Amino acid sequence: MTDDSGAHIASDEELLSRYALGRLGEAEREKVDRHTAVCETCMDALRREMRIAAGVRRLGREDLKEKLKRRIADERQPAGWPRILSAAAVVGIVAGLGVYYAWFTGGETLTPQPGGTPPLAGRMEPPRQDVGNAPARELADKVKGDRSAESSARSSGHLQTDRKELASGANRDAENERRGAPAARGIAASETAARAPATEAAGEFWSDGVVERGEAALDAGASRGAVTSQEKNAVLFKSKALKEEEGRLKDALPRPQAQYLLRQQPASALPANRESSGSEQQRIPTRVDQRGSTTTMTMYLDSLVDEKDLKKARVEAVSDDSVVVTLGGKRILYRFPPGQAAQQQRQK
Amino acid sequence: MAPSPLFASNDARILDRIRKGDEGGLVELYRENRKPVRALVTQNSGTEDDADDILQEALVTLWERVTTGRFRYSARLGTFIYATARNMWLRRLARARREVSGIETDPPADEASPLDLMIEEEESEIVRSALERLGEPCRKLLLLFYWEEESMESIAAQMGMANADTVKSRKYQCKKSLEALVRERLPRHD
Repeated sequence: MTDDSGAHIASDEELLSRYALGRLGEAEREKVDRHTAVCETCMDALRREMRIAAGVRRLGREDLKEKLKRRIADERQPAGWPRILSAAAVVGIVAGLGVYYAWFTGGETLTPQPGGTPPLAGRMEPPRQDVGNAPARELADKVKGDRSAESSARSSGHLQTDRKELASGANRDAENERRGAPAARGIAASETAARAPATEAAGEFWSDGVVERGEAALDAGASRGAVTSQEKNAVLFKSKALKEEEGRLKDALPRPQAQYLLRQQPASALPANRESSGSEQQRIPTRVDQRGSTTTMTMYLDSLVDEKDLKKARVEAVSDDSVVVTLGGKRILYRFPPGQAAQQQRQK
Repeated sequence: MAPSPLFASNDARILDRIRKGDEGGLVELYRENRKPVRALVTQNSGTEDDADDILQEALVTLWERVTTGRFRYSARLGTFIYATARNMWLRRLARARREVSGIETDPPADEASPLDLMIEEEESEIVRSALERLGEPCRKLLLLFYWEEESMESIAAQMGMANADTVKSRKYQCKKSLEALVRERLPRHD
């Protein structure tokens, strides 16, 4: 390296670097200082080395500062995220309720029948032109409509209204019936009367199970041009919101103790007044018989499922008036008369 | 005066995180020191953004010293950070020739290395921008050597090079490339 005799240090890379990094001992550094004081070439080499070291360290500092800023920003996010997630949850719940409402009632405000037909029967029988019978585009349009309604509800501060109305449908129906109010948007009395079986026992009713529309079905609709990708996404978003809402409701409700028995019959055995709609959306006419703590659901299927699948099927009450049957990888949604799904719990 | 055991314990934990290269230690210190540094800067002609910037600079200085083994623990970390941030802010104010009230304007104690004092900011900025134009392997190697102050052996292992001699040779080439780029904007760099 260098020494007091004046040996040049300009070509001693290691020494230059150690000096620039402040890694030299005091004695060694003094030697370098003495030499560079009289050797311009070595002084220039040292300056270059120090300039480079300073530049690299400057870059290192800036890189670290940037990393630190990002970390701080990440640290701050938790305070903001709950608010965002809360907002998202509210939107999700409202959207879920929208789909829920549309799916099971066709978006109609169902009213009791002045002719004395049990109101529940009216509620259980969606009109033929409801969402279940609509092509995919109409379903998507309905979803859009629901969103507008939700938006309107939010802006007017009536976020809870839909939910309350949903839960108190029977009460509202009963009230309307007392007043003799006409079915403004509901099912025509004659139509319901025609479809409602006159011999239905108190613990027996019919419900059309709606096979949940999956992504594959939407893809098929999209390939036919029946749904745009935007509409498909809207439907999927709402489907997800529905599942979330179901999960929330399930958590809120005590587990039903009642036993659900699932049976199947060929669709050909379906009573004449229960003919399949033949709609694009798969619907499964189902007779529900509640006796004591046992609910027997007899599904009339176009093609019978394997008995093993039937045994594996899961039935869950997700609210006091809705039940989800998971059968052979499909989710079938049922709307029961209000309280009927929860009735099982009361009877336990 | 030595820091109390309570602070020393927490400081030791944070210093350990920094030594291990965990920036989370700095984030902890940022949270703990943000309020006093903000008060210092905002009460002396600065904004909250200035305060955050200064605090980050002080934290980077602490990091640099700790990781290069130049940090000597003689007061709690909060004190070190506050003092460093204060000195940095005073220097910045002096540079901007702002009037400061209620705060001493004596030249701050020297917390910068001799290197920082010798090298003009403009020059180091030119080198920094030239580094950005240098290829990633060279940039990484030089950062490991001059910033992280890693040994040649460690750099060889991190960069998948055969041995320390390979690193030395490569470093020399990288420096020459960098100097050529710097010379384009700084003719006296020769």
